[in-house]
Amino acid sequence: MSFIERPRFSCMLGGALATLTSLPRVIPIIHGAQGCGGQLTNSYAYGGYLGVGYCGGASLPSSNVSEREIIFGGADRLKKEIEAAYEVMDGDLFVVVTSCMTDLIGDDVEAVLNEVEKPDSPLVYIDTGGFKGNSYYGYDIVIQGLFEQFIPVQEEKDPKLVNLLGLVPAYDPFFRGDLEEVRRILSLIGVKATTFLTPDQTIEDVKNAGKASLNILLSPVHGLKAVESAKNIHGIDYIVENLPIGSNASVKFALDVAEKLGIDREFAEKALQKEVDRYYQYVDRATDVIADTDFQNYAVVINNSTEALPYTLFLDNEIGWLPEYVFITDELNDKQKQLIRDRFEAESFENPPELVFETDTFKIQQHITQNRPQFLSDTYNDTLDPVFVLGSTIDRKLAEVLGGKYLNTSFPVISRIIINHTYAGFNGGLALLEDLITGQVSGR
Amino acid sequence: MKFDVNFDVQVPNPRERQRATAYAFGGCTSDLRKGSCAGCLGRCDRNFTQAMFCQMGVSTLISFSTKDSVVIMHGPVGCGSQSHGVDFSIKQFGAARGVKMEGARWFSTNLNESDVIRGGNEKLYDTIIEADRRFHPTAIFVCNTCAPGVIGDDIESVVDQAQKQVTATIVPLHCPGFSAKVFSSAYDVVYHGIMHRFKFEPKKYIDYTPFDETDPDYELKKLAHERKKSRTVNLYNAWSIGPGDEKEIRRLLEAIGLNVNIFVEFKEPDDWRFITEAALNVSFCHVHDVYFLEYLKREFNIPYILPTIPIGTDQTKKFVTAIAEFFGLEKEAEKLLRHEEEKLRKALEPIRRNVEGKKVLISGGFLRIGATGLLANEIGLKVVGFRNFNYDEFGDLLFGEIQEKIGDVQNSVSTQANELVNMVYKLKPDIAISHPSVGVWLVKSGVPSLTLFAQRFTYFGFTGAYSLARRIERTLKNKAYSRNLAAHTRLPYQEQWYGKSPYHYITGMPDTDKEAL
Repeated sequence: MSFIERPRFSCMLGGALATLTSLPRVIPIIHGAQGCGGQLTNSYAYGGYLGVGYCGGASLPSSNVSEREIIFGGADRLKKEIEAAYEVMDGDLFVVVTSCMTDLIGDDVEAVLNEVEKPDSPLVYIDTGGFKGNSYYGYDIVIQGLFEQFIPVQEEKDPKLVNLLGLVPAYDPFFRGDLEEVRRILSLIGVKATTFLTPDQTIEDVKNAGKASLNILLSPVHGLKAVESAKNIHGIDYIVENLPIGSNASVKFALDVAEKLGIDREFAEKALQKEVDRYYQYVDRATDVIADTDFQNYAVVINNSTEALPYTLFLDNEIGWLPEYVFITDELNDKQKQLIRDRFEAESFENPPELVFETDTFKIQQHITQNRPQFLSDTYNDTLDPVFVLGSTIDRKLAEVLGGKYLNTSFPVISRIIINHTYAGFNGGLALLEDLITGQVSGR
Repeated sequence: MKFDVNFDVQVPNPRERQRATAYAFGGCTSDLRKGSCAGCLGRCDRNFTQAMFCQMGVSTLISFSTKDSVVIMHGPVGCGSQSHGVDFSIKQFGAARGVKMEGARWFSTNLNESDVIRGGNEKLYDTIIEADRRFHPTAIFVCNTCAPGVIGDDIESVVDQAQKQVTATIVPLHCPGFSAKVFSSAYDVVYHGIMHRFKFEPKKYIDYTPFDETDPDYELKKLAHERKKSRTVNLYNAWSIGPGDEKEIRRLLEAIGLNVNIFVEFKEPDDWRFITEAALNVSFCHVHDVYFLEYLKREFNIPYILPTIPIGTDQTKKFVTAIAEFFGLEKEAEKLLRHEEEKLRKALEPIRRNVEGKKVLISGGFLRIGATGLLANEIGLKVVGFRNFNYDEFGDLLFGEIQEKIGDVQNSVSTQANELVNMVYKLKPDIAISHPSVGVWLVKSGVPSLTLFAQRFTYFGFTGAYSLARRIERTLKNKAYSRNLAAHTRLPYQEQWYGKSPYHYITGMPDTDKEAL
């Protein structure tokens, strides 16, 4: 893997901390240097100013290993840290996570955990040494760890209970609002969902995840290890679905789940129709301004492998825009890239976009400016105009170069705060339409 | 005083060794000063620790605010994912100084498992070449992080090799997080890199044309130049010092007839060559600069003074007076300061009536919080405690003044949130003033918190004192946000923790100190 200019993701520990601080009443314990916890918290804050959470930032217990531990080993320091954390911190689950440097020193964390006196709240260990993967992988391995070490295996499943997985806190910046909206859609067809990461969740909900009869993975690549583990250990089957954005996608999503769970299709369609009607009544009254002002745009979508396709589908299939380029910015291996390519090809686009895998911000801009005739001096060109860039804060520069508008939808999100905003589902589709039009009228 | 520096080494010592800087202590101001004098603060440590900043993160601050630089974080991608917020800051605060900054440009060498096994040198080399080719920067700062630090990558040799191929000056920074507990060691690391890679004297025919000796006005021109230099003072800014602060202090010093230059941030390295065109170096904050000023003294014979940080009336007066004394401008300074003080005093009167007696807790770097405490005291607030990120003998003079004016209040050395919330529980402040990343724990505890530095406000000098006083008054006017938040959220600490001393886990302290709170 090459060097990266201004990375749009963090290390494995960074993803693990973003996830653990979003889980209910979890106390992470870092075995690492003092800066890992503090500064990886800064990192996830760029996911729309996601705050420290219940136990993040300066409250994170951390062994803060220094030169002494590097020479003599950090096991003793970690043991003391865990014992003190149990004396001071108030949590339902304690999770030891490691950093690249403690993995390098080779401390036997398992042995330390065995030495620690059996505490009241459970203690698990997840190996998150920095350079084995990035923040998306960190999420995957934490959820996998929960299925393997914490969530009890339940023989009896609830036929109407599912788990929603695949959205990584901060690195999928709208994760909370999106999960809530997807759960709401499922509730329309009588399905309950465990989201793990939304504020309403309790540790009991997490424990109950073993009762689910289906895992729904909202990402083609992130979370696969977790759902595979859940399948092997808990016997929970899984489906991979696009994060639904807009009316068409939400209906398709809900019907896929209904079919998988054996829910009567007619019942589901009827339940969803009410939502579709409501959705289009809203769209109806946005149409005057859209029709009178020619708000159809070319689009450039810059996002991770989870969200790039859903946004592109919404733009193309739902509101009739012309996505020209889709840049996928997370680091993927060849197999994963092929998986994404296949998923893109399986969709029908009115205006099939060019799919580019690129982690480097500079090269994203270069790809367009070197390949588009609008940067030649000819008068009559196939220009990318009007154009809308849906990407991260660092892609604002690209929008400026293209002379277009920009909406901050992917990590890093610094030009807006995200609390419970969503672009998923019916409500999210409306919100996205709203923001895309607002982007064009906000100067009025 | 222990201030043991050797500029000839490749890697400067962390401050806990270089100047016995403490990072753990709990007690009162008198205990703190006693401990610091006896050198026993340095023996304190902790059995329970929480996450904080590291020197790698802090090293990026001067690096990014060097005009048109590129920063390379040599390590796994996590270390390079924390700087997105810098872009806005340097553009905005550069513009406010009249400097057009290019924005934050950086690379992560993105080390993975196989790089760590094979060594990351080749990747670092490629990254440096690409950084130069892509951006044509003035300087490339290479931050060495923990992973290459542990495996012992020799970044110096990579830098020397790459330097032959690029036009930017490459600055190796030895800043792996694990090697310093006191994260302000980062300032020494960056200055160390800067002093070894850049020149600090103007270059003939590039920066200036020498006077022609046959010119009839030669003597006059030479005298004028020398006169100007003898009236020039250099100040040293820092990330936490905003454009308003620089403007205010410049205003005061120019009013007494001095030329003021401000280094090193928001300047390009070519500008640094004019550092030696001054008669005196003055640090706003020795925590930030003393290492560099000591070097300039030893190397170029430029004297420096560390008067105090110019926050609040008294410290501002001291700051300006100390500089005026050096230049023999005491009378001018006295007149100016009397006038400024009188104006400020009148302006603060109505604010004082609204804030008098309110209890304040202050947390952050020791020099800034000390002076802020004196300012708070000046406007009638009751300072109930200080929480220093770290502490060394450089603070003793200021905290002596504090003990005299404010009394022997709680004074801990800590970055730990558990100790902070415990202190808040006991001291029950009405308001807090705190360093970024700490505020959230205060607000969740029900205490509204102001940021200890906010570059969009002025904090220094007379206008800064008024600005901070107004912010305190404004914050106290409506505490609904923190009240509601505290009522509806929970902190991650057990009830029984609040029954213990906040200093319970600090080791190496006399037991009597531990029970002080």
